[in-house]
Amino acid sequence: MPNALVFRPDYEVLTHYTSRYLEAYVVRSAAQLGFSVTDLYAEEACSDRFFQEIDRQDLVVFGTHGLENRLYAQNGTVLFSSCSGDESLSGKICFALACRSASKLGYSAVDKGCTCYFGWLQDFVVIIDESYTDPLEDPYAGSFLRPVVNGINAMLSSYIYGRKLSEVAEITYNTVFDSFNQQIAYWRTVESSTASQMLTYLYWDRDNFIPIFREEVYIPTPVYIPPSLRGILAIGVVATPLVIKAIS
Amino acid sequence: MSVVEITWEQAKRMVSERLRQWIESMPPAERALKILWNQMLMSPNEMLVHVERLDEIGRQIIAAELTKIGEEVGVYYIIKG
Repeated sequence: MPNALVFRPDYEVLTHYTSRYLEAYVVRSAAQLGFSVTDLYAEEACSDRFFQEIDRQDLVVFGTHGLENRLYAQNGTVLFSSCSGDESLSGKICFALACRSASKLGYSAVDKGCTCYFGWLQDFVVIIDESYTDPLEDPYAGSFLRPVVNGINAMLSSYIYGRKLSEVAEITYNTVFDSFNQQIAYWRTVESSTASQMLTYLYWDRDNFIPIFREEVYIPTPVYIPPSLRGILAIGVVATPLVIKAIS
Repeated sequence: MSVVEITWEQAKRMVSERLRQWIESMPPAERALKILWNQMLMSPNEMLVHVERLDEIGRQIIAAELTKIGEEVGVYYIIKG
């Protein structure tokens, strides 16, 4: 069974939003797809726990703050940087919902063996409505964060169905890009200056998202049957000899 | 797509005017809107302050707004300086 780690600190507004979306739309769907999920949330989202768990992971999803050369853990402590710690991503596919980390850290990690790194070149910007107590109900924030979780789910499902790395990268990138375009198409129909501001940052977030990977690297196809297909295959294994016997 | 060169001052005027329009036309139901920019949580008024100052965040706000305007009108803006 492939392993996925979801790293989601929760200590201020942005990490509260991202952790909530990852919990609702990624942690559960990854488990449903058949991943063994390690969910490092809030106080568990610290460097000690991360480095305890990282070796056995195939995919890693971060929802945290970042800069060009580092990612942050709970309470703003440094998780790792391009100088130290990013070698732990070697052999893994990573999706970093974090500011700027694709501009340097992503390249450094891929140079050190990370299979693929999805991230943002610039700050990831979100417009939120503070009057909503549950981030999932905030329609403004949802326009920015749903394209991201769509992309993460596309990455998870294309991996588990054994796609080549270049296909995983293409499917994930296209899903994020198309999902942002759907949001852009919606906000274009809304006539208000707030809609105009929404468009500004939807373009910004869409255009700063990139996959970084080395062309020659291929993902080994996971030997895994999703739970939804197991029953069908089990029936097939039992029924096929009976059909052959009946025909003969 | 045509290419248009403008200065930071011209870009600042263009973007701050749009931000003022947003702030003035904002209905009461949207008064709780904030923008999350990296580790900063800004109101539209605070965004305007950054743009007026032309600090790092202000310049990024300008760059984002010009990208949007450019996409919609088919112009690629290059900011000089």
